[in-house]
Parts: sequence; structure tokens; C-alpha cells
Amino acid sequence: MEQSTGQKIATALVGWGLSLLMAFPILWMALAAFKTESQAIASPPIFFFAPTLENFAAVFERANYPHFFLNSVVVAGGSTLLALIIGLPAAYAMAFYPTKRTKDVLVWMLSTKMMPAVGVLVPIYLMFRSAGLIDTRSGLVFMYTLMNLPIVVWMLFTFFKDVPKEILEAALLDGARPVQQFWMLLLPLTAPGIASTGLLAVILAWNEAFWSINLSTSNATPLTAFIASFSSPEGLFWAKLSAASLLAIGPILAFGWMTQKQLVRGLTFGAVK
Amino acid sequence: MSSVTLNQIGKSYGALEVVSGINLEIADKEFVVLVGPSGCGKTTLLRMIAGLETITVGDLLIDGERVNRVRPDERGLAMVFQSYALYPHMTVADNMSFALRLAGVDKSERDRKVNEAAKILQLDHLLQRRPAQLSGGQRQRVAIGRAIVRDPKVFLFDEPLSNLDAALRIQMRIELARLHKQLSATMIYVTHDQVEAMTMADRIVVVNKGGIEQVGTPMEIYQNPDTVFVAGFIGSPKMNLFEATATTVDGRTFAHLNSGQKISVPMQLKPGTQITLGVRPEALTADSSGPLAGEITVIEHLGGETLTYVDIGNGKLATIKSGEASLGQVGDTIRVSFAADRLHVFGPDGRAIRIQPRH
Repeated sequence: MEQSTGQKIATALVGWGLSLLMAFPILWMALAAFKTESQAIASPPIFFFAPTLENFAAVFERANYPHFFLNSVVVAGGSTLLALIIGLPAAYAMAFYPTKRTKDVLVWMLSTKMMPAVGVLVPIYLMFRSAGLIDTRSGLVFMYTLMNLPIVVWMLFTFFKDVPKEILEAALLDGARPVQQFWMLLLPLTAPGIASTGLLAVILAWNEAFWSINLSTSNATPLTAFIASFSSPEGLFWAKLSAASLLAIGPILAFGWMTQKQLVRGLTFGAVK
Repeated sequence: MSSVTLNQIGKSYGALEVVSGINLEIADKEFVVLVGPSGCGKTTLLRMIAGLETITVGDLLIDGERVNRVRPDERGLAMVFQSYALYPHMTVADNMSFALRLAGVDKSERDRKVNEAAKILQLDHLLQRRPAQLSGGQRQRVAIGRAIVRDPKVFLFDEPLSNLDAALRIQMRIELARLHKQLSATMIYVTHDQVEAMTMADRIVVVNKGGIEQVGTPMEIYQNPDTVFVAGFIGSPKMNLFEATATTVDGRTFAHLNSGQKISVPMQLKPGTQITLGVRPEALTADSSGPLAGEITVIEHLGGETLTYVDIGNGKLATIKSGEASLGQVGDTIRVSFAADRLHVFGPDGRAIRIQPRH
């Protein structure tokens, strides 16, 4: 449909307006990170000020940022890798060798995501304690893998389902064994889907706060626990909290920005093919 | 030698029987077309031969050897799919050489075979492209090339032309017929299009409701259909089929058409027998002394030929195929006749009752 100039401008205005509205809290936080504490709580709010880096200096002085950052990378990356290693064969089996109960298994897996996590906190905590997993990176990797596995399997299942059955049948006639079909056809054909599944799992694990705060104290604490440590005992210091938050979300925002093309392509894979 | 034998082949899913009691001998270098309406089981039959579906009962023999439990790639067959099923991430050359690569054939031999097949199919200049960069007809040729490269005992085609437009379909039909001669290979071809069956087949197998209705050369099937189903399915425009009841007057047999008219039938039938009469549209001619009369309701001019639809009572239309000239105008009443030997009579079970030569 051809749009007139007026319509184009109106669309752009509405689009930008909505985007700004949604991004406002993040933008406000980014601004606050560069204010002094008094500027940060000033009312009416201040939009123009001389930016300062003193909050960042304070944050770095008080906490070992690289330690948290490294934990986040290891835990998010490790759990994603593990979830893919388990999820790929599971989704493959469900997509290409389904049984009568496959649909039920999928629904059951997704249903585990509907339960409030706090409901299983006590048993998980006790198990982690017995297994010596409290405050370990491997413990969090394990927890995040379990947390993301349903979504990972679902997404991979969907991507595998989109591969035309005839292609695999043609390969069968060409003499490809299941393992060869997997490596030579399925993997390259669903690479965008697998990549976006991995990206989503990284983002979900990076942003996870509940389990990291409850299952780690110092050694394994990722960035979400680092932010939390800025919000409590001495009352609220908006500027410092904002600086810490910006440091925590910065890497994943940059990561998401760089991979957004891949993410969107993967998430709309079947629909626009 | 590459013959295929189907011996009492059947397929069921649980209690549902989709194919049953199939007996068929396909000779070396023969082009056999399985034709039938959608859902008749012809594709299932082909997939059982390919090894993509298990065979519930019966024996499948290739070159006299039972292959029911042999893996698809070891049966020595190649299949061309309706959707082409090309590997989208591979070039045309890689698509065609995939099977050879898996079989461990060395690169120079692979290239030689791919180039040879590409030349036959005029794909030489496209070898480095990917399937997405090709037109429908080109993709189809790559799919055929992939089959040729494997040098199979038998080629299987599953409705390979149905995704192409009409003009391309006719062109590919001719190319496939030529290819069959050139490769002198055994080919089994599935289609729902009776024109494809008539034009390409050495022998046609008409499949209906999971069983074989009739096997024969195209002309045998056209001229002597064994059943009402075959009579109505093969031929375009369709054979005229009139339901009727047999009566006897002075020792001569007549058919009382359900649409009201009466025509003489050159055979003895028990009075009261429910029969179906069949006459091909081109066997009907306008004739002022003909036994059938009716009003022209529609005239279709196709250029070289004309189709005239005549209402012979109760809205039942008879189709007449004639040359360029019209048989009349819409609204005219005309009389129609046909040569006695062009009349087909089918009994209450739908099977043909052959007309005995009169003494």
C-alpha cells in the first residue's frame, strides 16, 4: 500500500514515541549513572548537567566488577552450551521420530516454566547443599541449564519441524545415515535457528536473578547479584545503583545489539521462509 | 537387467488398509506410469518400492531378489520428489554428487559423472548455483540429475511435474520421454494426470482405492477399459457414461437410459440388469437417423475441435467431440449416433461386459 508523506511522518512519530516510552526507564537509568547522588534524586528531575564518572569509580572501588562479569560469562555461556548439547538430540528425536506421547512431553516440559520458581526453592537449596553446589559456578550452570532446557528444546523442535521431510528422505535414498543427515543437512539448514536459540538462552541466563541470589554468596555470584548488592543495606543510592546496573546490562545490551539481525532472523525463521 | 516385481503387496496403518493385493511385473527398461485419483495409494506404493514406507504384507523383488528389508540406498533406486527435495545449502554440483560423496567415490570421478549428467540435462552453466537461484524447471532438472548421477537400476518419480506451469510441464514431459530412451532405464512414474500417463507410459497401471484396476498399454486402456472407473478416469474429455436398465423386446436387447431414451445393445443381457453404457465423445456423431436425441445446451470451440454438450433428458449431458464446424446452435435439437463397436457396456459390478461379435 502506498503511503502519503503525512502518513509516513505520523507512523514515524508514533513509532518513535512508543519506542522512547518503552526505553525511558533504561535511558533514565543511563542518565542517572552520570549524575551526582543529589542530582539523581532532585525533583523536578534534571536533564542537563555536567556528567561525572565518580559513581563508576565508587562502584569499582567497592566491588570486584571483573569477578562478577567473568562469573556471568561462564555461567551464561556454560549453561547455554550444555542446554544445546542436551537439547539438540532431544529435539531431533522428537521432531523426526515422534511417538504418540511426544506432544504431551513437550507440553509437560513447557508447563514446568509455569510454576513459580520460589515454590521449589527449598528442595533445590537442600539438594544443592548436599551436593556441595551452593555458591559454585557449576551449580549455577546446572540450574540455568535446567531452567532454559524447555525453551531450548521447544525452539529447536520447531526449527527441525520446518525442515521438509522430503529433504531427509532424499538423503536417505542418497545413502546418508542419521548421523550424517544431522551433521550434513540438519545442522547447516537450521543453523540460524540454533544460533538464535543459543542467543536467547544466553540472554535469559545473563538476566536471571532469583537463583543466582539464592544459590550464590560470593565465589559464583554473577552480575545480577552484583546489582542486588547495591540496593540494600545503606539505603538507596540512585546514582551508584544506576552505574552498577548500567555496568551489568551493558555487555548483554551490546551483545543483543550486535546479534539482533541473527536473533530476529532466527525467531521468524519458518514464517518468512 | 533391472526388473521390479510386486507380489501381493499390501500396506496398512493399524486396522486401516491403504494398499492391498498388488501384483505387478515391471520389465527391464520399461516406463510404467501409476495413475489414479489423489488418495488412491499410488504414492504409498511408490514409497514402499523406494523403501521409505515399510511393506506390511507381500514381497518386493528387484532383479529377482527380495528387498523388503533392504535399506533404501542399497536397493539401487533413485527417486525424484514432487517438491524436488534439493539440499538448499548446497550448490547444484554438490546436490548432484552428494550420494557419490557419501559412497566414498573420489573427486575426479564425481566431477566426471556430474558433468556428464549436467550435459544431458543442459545444466552445465548452473553447476555453481544454489537451488534458490534456479527456476522451477531448472530445479526439476537438478532433481533428475541427482538421480542420474547415481546410475540407479530403477528411477522413481513422484508427481515430478505437478509444481510446474502448463507450458513447462509439456516440455518436461517430452524431455523425460527422451531421457528414458537415452538412458534406457527402468522408470516408475506416479501421477494423477492421465494425460501424462497416456503420453509417456509404455504401460499404464490404473490405481483406485488401494488396488490395481487395470494394467495395459495406453491404447489398450483407452480402447478397452476393464471397469467404469478406468473408462471415466482415462481420456479427456471424459467418456460419456449413461446408467441404464436392460430390457428385451422380440429377442433383441435394449438399454433404457435412466435419462429416458432407449437404445439397442448388441449383446444378450438378462432383462432388468443395471448396466452402464460408455461412449467416447469422439465416437459420437450427429446423425439424423441416430438413436439418441437431445437439445444442445453448450458449445465449446477449442479451435481445431469443438465440444458440443447435448441434454439427452433429465439434465444428463452427452459430450460430442467434433472438428472445427459446429453441429448446430445452442437450443437446436439434434440426433446422435455411434458405431456399435465403440459402445462399452459395464455390468452392475462396474466391470466391462465385452461385446460378442454378431453372427
